[in-house]
Amino acid sequence: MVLSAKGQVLKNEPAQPGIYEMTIAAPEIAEQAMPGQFVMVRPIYRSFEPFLNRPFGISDIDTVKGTINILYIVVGKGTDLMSEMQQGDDVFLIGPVGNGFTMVSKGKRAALVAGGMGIAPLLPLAKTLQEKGITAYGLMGASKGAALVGTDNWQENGVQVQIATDDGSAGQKGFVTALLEDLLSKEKIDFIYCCGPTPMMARTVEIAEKYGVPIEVSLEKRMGCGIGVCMGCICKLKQADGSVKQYRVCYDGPVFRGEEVVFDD
Amino acid sequence: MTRTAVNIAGIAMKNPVCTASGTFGYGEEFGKFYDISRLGGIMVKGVSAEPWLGNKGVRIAETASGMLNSVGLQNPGVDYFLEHYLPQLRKKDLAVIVNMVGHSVEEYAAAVEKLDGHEGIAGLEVNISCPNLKAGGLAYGTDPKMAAEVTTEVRKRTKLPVIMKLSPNVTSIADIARAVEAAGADGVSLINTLLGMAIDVKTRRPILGNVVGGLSGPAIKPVALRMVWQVHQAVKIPIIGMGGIVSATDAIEFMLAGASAVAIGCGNFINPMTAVEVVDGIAEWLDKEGVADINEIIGGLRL
Repeated sequence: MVLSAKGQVLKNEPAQPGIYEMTIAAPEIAEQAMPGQFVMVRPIYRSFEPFLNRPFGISDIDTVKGTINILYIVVGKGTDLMSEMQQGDDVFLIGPVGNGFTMVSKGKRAALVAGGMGIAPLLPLAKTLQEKGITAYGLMGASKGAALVGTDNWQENGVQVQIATDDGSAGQKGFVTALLEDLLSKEKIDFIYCCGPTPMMARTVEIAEKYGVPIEVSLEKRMGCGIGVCMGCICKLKQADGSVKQYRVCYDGPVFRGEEVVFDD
Repeated sequence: MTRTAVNIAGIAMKNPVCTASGTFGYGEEFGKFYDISRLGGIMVKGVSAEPWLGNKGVRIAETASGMLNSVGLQNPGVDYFLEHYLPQLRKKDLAVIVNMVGHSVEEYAAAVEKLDGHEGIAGLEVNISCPNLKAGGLAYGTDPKMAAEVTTEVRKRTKLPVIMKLSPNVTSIADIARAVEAAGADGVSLINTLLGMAIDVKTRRPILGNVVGGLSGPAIKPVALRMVWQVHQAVKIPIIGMGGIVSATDAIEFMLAGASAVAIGCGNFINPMTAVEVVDGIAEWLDKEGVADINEIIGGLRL
């Protein structure tokens, strides 16, 4: 059952300049949420400004405290309002929505490949993988060191972290996909989980296919409703017979098999 | 206990609250939030004789108190609807109104012929805001003659109640309403979206892939209300009112203006519980106002 519920902001603080982490008390959503699922967020309850709810990947799930976290970068009207929210404020939520990541079996080795804010859904995933005794490598790409978020959290959950930045201000200079090539040429990896900007995910899928490693990607698209009815967030998937079919990122995804996704926009 | 049942062109509904086409799919997704049998009716997402892929590029843009869409009526086609969705909808206790679309009179005719005779369809709602490809893309609903032509062609192929969904992108909506009434429509629903546009100044490009799209949401409510009121004075056939309804108060305003039923559109997006909240809110309002029968308020505007 998907819930539309009122949550309460417990914490809303910058993780980096312009990047915030919000902790929301929403016990029923926390109870059901799986890594890779997301929530639709409305900063002001019963207001038409901004009009549409915003989708955010769930970046932490705490079933004991009954909380979920989201990570967001301030880019427009909606996130600007969110950044001004205070502890105790009500926030309207729809969730958990979408389908989460597939779990690899015990004893396997996984690589998590994140670009920028794409790390969000890969954070609760790291926690679950550790609980299941799966070895995880975390590869994080960002524009600069001051845009890095979540890598501490990865480390706390036993992930072996490597970083790449565009300007070399943290980790290796260059793209995160170079780190992946390097890792796959040295280590046996059974499964790749990826979330980030479209060109980065397209390249990651290419590399995964080259090394014959199965991959899941979490797509991000502009969404109207987030619940599968507005047909705003369409993506294309290759079918077994060679044809291409349209799917809804919010309802049929956001997690898809990387090999099937047509990255054409 | 007040009576909330209404009858629109022979379509009986236990309450006047429907969900507008394109905002509720075929009912399946919203089943995760509530039992859709609580609603009076559903106008399913528009179906065409053959599947349509819809438009390319960005399909949604947020605007002040509303949104633009240029989805382009993506749908799996009538056959898929009949096979996969109608059997599920038939089990529900609500009026199933099938919205249909076409690019030519022949396409509308083909769709109605496929739909006619299937159990569980309470009525047809005909979207005439689609571009007529034979008339240079001019929307059927913007010309009284073209609107009437579609009405006639659909009318003669079915015994089901035919509701024509009117476009607001016209000079006189009353003229269009009169034309479809004369051509045999059993009812009208209004309004469809208002044609609009959004621009990104950073890229200096239109936000929507289709450049222009349909505006919906509370931003269009005053226009919709005015048009329902004008049409109510122009025709005798019943009206289903829609356009920016997000609360029971909004719904009652449309009924006072002359609507016999209402539909919730993108209000379903911003709060999935909107339609059931409107159902409950109308019942509360009737109790509070001491209205014995909802039919008493239809067109009850005091001038």
